This record gives sequence, C-alpha cells and structure tokens, in this order.
Amino acid sequence: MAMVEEIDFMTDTATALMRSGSPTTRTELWISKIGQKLGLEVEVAIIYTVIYITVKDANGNSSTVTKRTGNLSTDFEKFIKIDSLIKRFVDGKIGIEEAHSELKKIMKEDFSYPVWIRMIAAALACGGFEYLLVGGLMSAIASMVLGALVYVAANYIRLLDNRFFQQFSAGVMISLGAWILLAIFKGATLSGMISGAIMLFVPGLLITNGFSEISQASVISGTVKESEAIALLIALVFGIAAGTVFMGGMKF
Amino acid sequence: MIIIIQSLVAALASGSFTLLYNATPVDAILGGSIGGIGWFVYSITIGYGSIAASLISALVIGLTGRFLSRIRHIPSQPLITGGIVVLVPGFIAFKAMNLFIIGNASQGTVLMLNAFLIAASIGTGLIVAVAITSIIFRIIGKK
Repeated sequence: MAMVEEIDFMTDTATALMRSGSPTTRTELWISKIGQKLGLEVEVAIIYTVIYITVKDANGNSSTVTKRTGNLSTDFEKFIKIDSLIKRFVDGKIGIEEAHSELKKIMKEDFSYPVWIRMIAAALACGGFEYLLVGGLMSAIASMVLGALVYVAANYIRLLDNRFFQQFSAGVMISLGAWILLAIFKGATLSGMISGAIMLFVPGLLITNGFSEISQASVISGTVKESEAIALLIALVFGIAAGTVFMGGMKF
Repeated sequence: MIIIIQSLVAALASGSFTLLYNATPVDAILGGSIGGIGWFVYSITIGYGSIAASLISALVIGLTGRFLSRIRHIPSQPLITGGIVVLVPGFIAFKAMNLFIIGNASQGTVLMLNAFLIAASIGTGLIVAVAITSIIFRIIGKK
C-alpha cells in the first residue's frame, strides 16, 4: 500500500466537508479534483453519512476505503475555510502534508458564536418568521422569547447525540412554553407562537436540499435526506402533540 | 409599503438564521439581503400561485447568490441557504403533519403534497440558476 497518505487525506477531506454542511455533489467534485492533482484515478460515492472512495494508481493497484462520517451538522465558517484550503491545494500552492495538517487544525477549532449572540439571532429569526407566516405583533414578540429559550435548551440536549430525541424534546418545550407565555403576553395566539418557534427546528432546508440533490444525479443521497427530514418532522410534531395534552388537545 | 416592511423583516430573519449556522457576519448580512430580495420577488409574484412564485424567487436567489459568492470567492451554499430559508416549506410541512395527527388525513395529504411541490420548485429554480451561472462563468473565464 503506497497510497496510504493520499487516501487518508482524501477521506479526511470528504469527512470534514460533509460534517461542515457541504452539498454531496460539491464534495464528490472536490475529491475527484484532488485525485486528479495527485495523479490517481478516483471513484467516489457519498451516501449521506457514508463515504466510499476507490483509488487506482498508474500501476493498476487499487484500494477502497469506506468511512462513516457520524452525525452531520452545518458550520459555514468551517466549510468556507476547508473549501479555500482545497482550492489552494488543487491550484498547487501547498503540498499534501501541509494541507493535511491545516485541515486537522481547522477541524479541531470551534468557530461558534457566544451563546448570547446565538440567542439574539434565534429570537430575531423566530420573530421574523412568525411575522411573515402568520402575522400579529404580540405573537411575534412572544415567539421571539420562546424561540430563543428553546433554542438554547435544545442546544444542550444535543449533547445526547440523538437528533430524534432532540426534536421531540424541542417540540414538548415549545408547546409547554407557549402555554405558559400565553398568560404573560396578552393578545398573543397559541398557534402564532408555536409556528414562530418551530421554524428553527422544521427541516424545510433538508427537504429542499434533498430535491436539488436528486435533480443533480445524487439520487440516493437526496432520497435519504428526504426520509430523514420526514422522520425529524414527525419527531417534532409528536413532541408538540405530547406537550399539548396539558393544554387540552390541539387547536390549530 | 407592506411588502417592503415584510422584505426587511425577511432579511433580518434570514440573516439571523444564517448566523446560527456560524456564518461570518459579512456572509450573514449578504445572505440576509438575498433573503429579503427573495421575499420581495415572492410577494410580487404570489398572484401566480405559491409554487410558481417559489420557482421564480428561487431562481432570483440562486442567481444573486452565485454572483455574490463568485465575487467573494466562497462557495455559494451559505448565501443561497440564507436566501431560501424564508421560502422553504417547513411551516406547511409542519401543518400537514399536524393535520395527520389530529386525524384529518385528507387535508393533510393535500398540504403535504403542496409542501413537496414547493420544495421541488425551489430546487428546480436553484438548479436552473446554477446552470445559467455556470455557462456565464465559463464564458467569462475564457476571455
């Protein structure tokens, strides 16, 4: 096995890209370009959380690597940094060793904003979506409070590493929180508050990205995204339904 | 007037949403503005039905996002995500699933189908935008 370093670099790059929220087609394109740069024949297939890379060198020796990426998240700053790193590598500005060590450094870093900034951002997003989709100023203000609190709480639940449970508990918290806030914010409606606060958790982006991947010939990856979106949606709605038991059933 | 206020709110909401995904402040502002533009286009074309309106605004968002990302030398994904987040049918899908749970399956099916069609039209709009911009970039690159 002479291609250990090359294959390691390629799998690490693919994993890093997928974990920071890169679209499947873009990751596959980058890995093929890295292979071309290294003078290897590469076939890459990425099926959402699993990466398959087969490499063939000039002598006809081939080897295949399968790697699971684990839970995927979205982190645009990391994605942009990795993307520009690969661009520099493909343009021939840095060597493979330097690129690999820099990639490992980027993956270790944490670019997330402090909690209070994320709380304000969550509040603005929830309030804005409530105003656009349902309307009503009081409900918008109430869903800003609710959205920020539930977002921070759900961030801690993420530690359990179970997205289905995270969605479910977010749903329960949203409906219970809406019921409590109804007494404080006079004039807000239950459906308004809930529809604003869920916007951070509904997988609308996943559904849309799934469709655009299916249309770009990553059929399996796209289909898997669709079914994950439906599972997450069901978890969220079940959570809200479980919470509304305390309020005497759903009234939408 | 109401459309302009709504577009500003949409810009604010989508910018904040991009920030939650660790976008840099500049990208968040750009993503937010694209979201505002997208909502503006959506509001003035909503008369043709929500599916056609989503298609047209996704096309505009895709074109703007691709050009801005080309200028800033970054992948277009962060900007386009910020742009389409106000259009994605998350809320409709939620309402549909809710109807299924309370036992109103017939209305739920209609809404779910609507949600999938809107998602498909946004996807189509983005793909068309990517195709158009790739051709334009190729012509620019050759010069």
